[in-house]
Amino acid sequence: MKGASVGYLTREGFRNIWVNRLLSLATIVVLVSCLVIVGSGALIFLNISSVLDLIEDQNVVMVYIEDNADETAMDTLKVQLLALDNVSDVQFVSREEAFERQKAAYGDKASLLDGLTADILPNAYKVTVKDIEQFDSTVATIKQLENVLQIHENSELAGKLASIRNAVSYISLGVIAILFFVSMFIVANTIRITIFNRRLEISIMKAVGATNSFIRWPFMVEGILLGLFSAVLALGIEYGVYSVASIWLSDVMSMLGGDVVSFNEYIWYIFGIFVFIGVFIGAFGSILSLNKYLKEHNNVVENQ
Amino acid sequence: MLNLIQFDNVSKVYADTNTKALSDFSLNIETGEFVFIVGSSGAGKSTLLKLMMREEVPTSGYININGYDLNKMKKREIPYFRRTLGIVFQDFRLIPNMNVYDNIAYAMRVIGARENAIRKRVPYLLGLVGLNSKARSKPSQLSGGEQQRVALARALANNANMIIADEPTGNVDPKMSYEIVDLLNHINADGTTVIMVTHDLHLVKTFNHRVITIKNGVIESDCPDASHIDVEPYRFENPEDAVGSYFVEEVGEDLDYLVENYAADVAEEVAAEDVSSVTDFFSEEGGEEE
Ligand SMILES: Nc1ncnc2c1ncn2[C@@H]1O[C@H](COP(=O)(O)OP(=O)(O)OP(=O)(O)O)[C@@H](O)[C@H]1O
Ligand SMILES: [Mg+2]
Repeated sequence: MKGASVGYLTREGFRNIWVNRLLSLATIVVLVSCLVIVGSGALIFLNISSVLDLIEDQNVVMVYIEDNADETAMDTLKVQLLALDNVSDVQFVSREEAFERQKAAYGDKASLLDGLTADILPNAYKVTVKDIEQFDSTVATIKQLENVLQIHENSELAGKLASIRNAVSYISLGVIAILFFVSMFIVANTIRITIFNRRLEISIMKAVGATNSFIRWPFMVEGILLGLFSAVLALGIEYGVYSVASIWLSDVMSMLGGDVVSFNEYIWYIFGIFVFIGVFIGAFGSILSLNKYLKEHNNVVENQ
Repeated sequence: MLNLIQFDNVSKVYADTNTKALSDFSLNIETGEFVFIVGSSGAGKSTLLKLMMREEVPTSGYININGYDLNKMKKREIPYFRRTLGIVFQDFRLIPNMNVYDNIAYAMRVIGARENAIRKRVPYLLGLVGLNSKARSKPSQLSGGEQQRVALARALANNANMIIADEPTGNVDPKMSYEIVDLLNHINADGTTVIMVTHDLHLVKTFNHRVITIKNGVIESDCPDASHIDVEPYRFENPEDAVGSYFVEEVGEDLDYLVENYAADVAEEVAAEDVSSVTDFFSEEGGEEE
């Protein structure tokens, strides 16, 4: 296609949108709604993720050491722990430290511990686990090691966190997939109506020898433009919605000891996703409709 | 002379209804001919034209149009092949919200013509069909005959070397029919081949060209002129009307043209008699129209 033609065809695409402005508007509203839902889903996912990260970071296993282990044995244990794939950090907690912490935890009632010494407590390693999903097997491995007295772990929490994360990502994916098809259907339908409105022009184009790509282009442009407009609009609306939601979210998040995920940090990702989804849906929606039309109505001469 | 249109033993069966529309059909048309195709409803005339423009493919047989072997033609070559044809419809097919100029320009735009080529070509075509003064009119502001002339200009926009018209006068009255075919005649005189399907035997008689009669999917007769057709030719009371208002300034020239080229007897009558006293053909025989 020559430069002049691309300009002409693109103008035709804009003209289609303008000629069907009510329908275009309705399509944009639906597309924007879908994108905002997708974006909100992504932001909710990001926030849940960051909470999970927070909790996971605190996900430690206390590995208590046999009293009769000497310095070398303890060092060997540390090396063995660090060598495990799923272990990110190993910190030594001496019985004295633990005792002090215990006292602090008792607060006013610290006097109850009077007369007791740190000797009642074992030395320990505070082990941080990387992947919460492999928590159980990691714990089992640690139990096999020498000089391990006992393990204090909370595998139930670990399991719950992992399944929450999974559920959240599956639900998000499901919602996105459904909305994706809904949007595609809506755009295809809009283009179908445009095609119907312009069937006279299409039959003339075929009669005078316009190529199929020439016939397609304005409808593609129309679909892509609808997608682009929707992406830009959805980004603005998402920003507004999230700013309002953040006020409420930040309370929840600070309770959990974290911060709300900042929109600005993800703005380009979100915009990129919106544009990608919008343009993809726009282009494919129109191709779907047009191919169907060109296949079914291949006649040039028949009266309409 | 070059064979522009060649059908060798072509058969067409519509699979869905199992209708045999054409049977073992052979036909040659040479460059520069003007051919009327007549026959009763359902005879296969439209099917013949659809095969010519590669809207339908034959069930068997060989078709060559304008040097294109339609049997071997790939789908993506069809648009380029169609540019060598000028297709005219019975229902004009003008775009209602575009003016006359843009309707003609549209045919050039959609094949990617440059705007300055369009600016040169469209006024020339408007002049050819005598509608320069109507360039800014919408189709709804034109008579049926004028609309069909716009459609003709559009069919010629991309330099087609043949016009294929399926009942182009089917929707207009006899006077306008005459105008349209008269224009086709002018175009034909410039070298463009014209294939026209019609039910109007008066027109066929008036313009006196090669006539192919189709019956039940086969050629019943193929005559070089209309001498075998037993109907009255059209005559008009007012020769200015007869040759169309678009040639007003060249009426004299046009009468000469009529005498020279076709319907010689009509034109002679018109020219010989006192113009105002020629009987109005339509007031007498209008009832004969189908
Ligand atoms: N697309 C089609 N599918 C099935 N049958 C068809 C199709 N087009 C035409 N026919 C049949 O083929 C036969 C020839 O039709 P065609 O349109 O060529 O006739 P025609 O001579 O143009 O008639 P008319 O003067 O009424 O326009 C008819 O019996 C018609 O019913
Ligand atoms: Mg027909």
